[in-house]
Parts: sequence; structure tokens; C-alpha cells
Amino acid sequence: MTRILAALLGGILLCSSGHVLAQDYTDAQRGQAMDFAISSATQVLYHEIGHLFVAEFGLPVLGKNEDTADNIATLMLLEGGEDFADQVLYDAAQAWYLSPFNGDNPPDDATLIDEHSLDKQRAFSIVCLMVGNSPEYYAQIATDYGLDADRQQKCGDIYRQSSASWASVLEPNKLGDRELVGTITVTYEDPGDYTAEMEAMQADQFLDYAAQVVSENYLLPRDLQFKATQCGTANAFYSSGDSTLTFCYEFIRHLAELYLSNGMAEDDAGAGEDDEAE
Amino acid sequence: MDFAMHDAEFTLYHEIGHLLVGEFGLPVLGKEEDAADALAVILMLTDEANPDESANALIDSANGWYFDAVKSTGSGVDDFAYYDEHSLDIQRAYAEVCMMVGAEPETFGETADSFDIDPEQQEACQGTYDQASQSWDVVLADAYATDKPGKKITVSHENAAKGSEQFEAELKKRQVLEKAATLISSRFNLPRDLKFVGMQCDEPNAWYDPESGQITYCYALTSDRYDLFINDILPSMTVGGVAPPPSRTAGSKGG
Repeated sequence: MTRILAALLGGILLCSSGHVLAQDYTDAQRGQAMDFAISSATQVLYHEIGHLFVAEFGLPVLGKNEDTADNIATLMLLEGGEDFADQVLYDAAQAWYLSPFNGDNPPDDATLIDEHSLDKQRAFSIVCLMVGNSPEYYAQIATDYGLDADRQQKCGDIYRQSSASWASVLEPNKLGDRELVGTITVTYEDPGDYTAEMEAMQADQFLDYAAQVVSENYLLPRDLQFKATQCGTANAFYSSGDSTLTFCYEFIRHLAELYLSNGMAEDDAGAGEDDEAE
Repeated sequence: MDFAMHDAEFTLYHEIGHLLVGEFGLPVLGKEEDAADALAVILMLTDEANPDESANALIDSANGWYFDAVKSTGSGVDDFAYYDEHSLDIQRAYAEVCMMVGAEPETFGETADSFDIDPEQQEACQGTYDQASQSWDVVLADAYATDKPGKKITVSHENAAKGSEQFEAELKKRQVLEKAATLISSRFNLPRDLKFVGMQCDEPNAWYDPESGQITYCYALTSDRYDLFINDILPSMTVGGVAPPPSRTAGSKGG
């Protein structure tokens, strides 16, 4: 069953040309944009892993499947103890917040019918779980997103419920001392015009690292594949029928362009302090 | 009044969703509010005692969300609505209709059409309904009633405020709270005695309190729904007076 992640991003794609990246920005700014793209895309990757868990482990989804995948992604990042997790969460919240609807325009009907929550709702859900996890540590981002004290307190309840739920459904599927059954094969297919995106993904070990985390910690019932490829659209999805998680190069470019088109790149970026993503 | 009573039924089953999560410690990984909406649809569609009544109640409650949305978000969506733990009213309307048409394409195809849910989406809704229905079944496996007599749900109605007596009377007459209580206590092995209480309240609301194990349903909510129907839905109905199809033009009316 294919789960389309980025149906909502279609509108943005209309103004993507790819040439924006090449011509209007400095190398340093493009580097920043790519770092942001890879970082925020990591949340998307974990979201698809959420779908993978639901499908492979038969997890119960009582509400919306897409919100479940989002929350699994956020919880894995919040509780996984990875160095990069905080940055991923900040960048992902920002990417969703900046995504399609700015201003006061109500979203259109197709977007409201969609099984995904609205992009802004997805941003707030990430921030809510963050501040629910640690009100002190994430106080600033909660304030930045306008979550008042009352809301922050509710986020504590939501976090505790989600975290406990996640722990309970996950427990039986942890690998523990058991022997591996399924493993994950990673491939980066022909990038076409997306060489820069592919190279950034590979340098980051984007798919490889997540595949390792999943296969070493959970008892996968069968062999699976993580695949980067050209899709013709900015998307990512897990297909249970193909046992394949697909991440489109176009999505990485979309996120980089989102960063640049929102003026997030600094003018003197990278002058002297070039911080490569790991 | 039919409309208000139908909304009351849906609202009760929604709160029963929260109750089941609370009483049985069910794992909720998305929004509990959406989960409760989904359960309300499942419970009503699997209530074999009153299939027609349930179908009409579901259609009315979806229309209620729709017209709420026309009023509340017609002029824009603020950040508060985005970070609320409830989905937007319009999303709740679509999600409810999706569950309905997913479960019974024949019964609710027309409703889904009137909500502009295209055929492809309607088909995808079958997967949505199946997943929700199976998930609730799995997590409630240990909660289904066995031969042992379970705990009881006590139903009571406090006196309505002046002007709302008709709502209290109608709820009692139709046994809205009583029927829901009977369905739940016969279907599930409740871990403790619970209460369903109708009362006036200051605001149109209903809620489950996990500490006291009580669902409170406010007459002010009945009154609010009654007014919504009279002021917003009735004027938009076709002359024939069949089910009110929420047409696209209604969507642009604004608040």
C-alpha cells in the first residue's frame, strides 16, 4: 500500500526549476540549503519508517495513519539519542511550517480531504512533542511557534501518551537477543540531473544509517529495500507490496529550494566556518 | 431537533472513544481526537439495532462539522486552530464521511459525492476504514465482554436551565444516553462502574473525565446544534428538503 507523503507539496513544485539553485546563490548558500534539505528530509525518512513499522509489525492505528507516522518519526528522533536529532526536528518543523499556506488563505478542499494533516499542523505536532518531552530544553522553540503555557502543558500529556503508546506497541518488535530475519538493502539509483542531491545523501549516509538503525534494533519479518531514485515528483513513500521505502531525489531539491526561496540562507554563509554535515 | 439529537449520538460515541482509551489504556499514536471520531463511526455503523438511525445520525453529524467549518474557518485559519489537538472542523467532516463511505460505499456514496470526495478517494477510504476498524478490534480484543457480568454505567440527567428543558426532555425521550450506555456496557468488560450524565453547562461541550470515569454531555451543546440547524443548515437546504448537501457555494459563504 503506497503512502504518499508529499501530496501537499505539489503547489510548491510548480515554481521549482532547479536553475534557481544553480544561478542565484553562492556556493556557500547552496551548501547551507543542502544541509537543511538533508536534515529536514531525515524526518521525512523516519516518517516513512513509521509507515514501514505499521505495515511490517501490524501496529494498531486508531486515528490517522499519517499522523501516526509523523509521531513515530518525532518520537524516534526525540528518544533515539542521536546527535543529529535536534537539528532534524528544528529543520523539519520549519520546513513544514514554511510549506504551502502562508498568510490567512484557507487551505483548499483537496488539501483538507487529504489523509495527511496540513503542513502547518504537522509542524506544530513536531514542536508539541518536543516541548512535551522537555519543556525546559525546548522552551525557546515552543515560544517561537507561539505555544502558550496552557498548550505546552497539554503537549506534556500528549507526549506522555504518545511515548507510552509507542513503547508498548514497539516492545514486542525489538530485536533483543533474537536472530535477524530480515535485513535492509540500500541503493541509490541513477540520479539524472540530481547528482548533487544524490551525493549529499550519500555523504550523509542518509539511507544507509537509518537502514542500519532499523535493521539492528528491530525484528524485521522479511527483507526490505531503501531506495533513492528519480520519481518525477517531490515525494517519499513506503510500499508494503514492493517491500520498498522510496525516497525521491526531487524531495531533497524541493527542501533546498524551500530554504533558499524563504531567504533562510545567510549572505556571508560559510565564510571561514564551513560545517559539514556528518 | 432530529439533527441536534443525531449530533448528540455522535458526540457521545466520540466521548466513548476517549473513555475506551482511558479505561483500557489503549495505545494512541496519532491524535486521540481523530481516533475518537473514527471509533464513533465504527460503533454507530456496527450498532445493528438501529442501522438506519445510525446512518442518518452520521450524515447529520458530518454536515454539522461542515457547517461549523463554514462558520469558523470560512474567513481564514489562525495558528491556534493549527495547533489545536482537534483537527479542523472541515477535516473532521471529511474524515468522518471517508470512514462512512469506506465502510458502506452504497449507503454513503451520495453523501461522499456531495462532499466532493472523488471516486478514487472514496475507494481509498475503504482502506482507511478497514485499518481503523481492524486496529480498534485488535486493541480492544481483551476488552470485549465475556460471560462475566461487567461493571455498570449509570445514566442520569440533571435539570436543564430555563429555556433548555425541551432538550433535556428530548434526550430522555429518545434515550440517547441510555442507549449508548447499554451498547457499551454490553459490548465491553468495563473495569469499573462509570457514569453518563446530562447537564446544563455554561458552554456547548461534552467530555470524558478519566479520574471520575464520567462522560458529561451538556444541554448547551444540544441547544447549539439546534441553532446551527435552524440558522445555517436549514436556509441552505434545497426546496425538496432532502438531506442537506453541503454544496461548494456554501463553502464560500464565510462567517
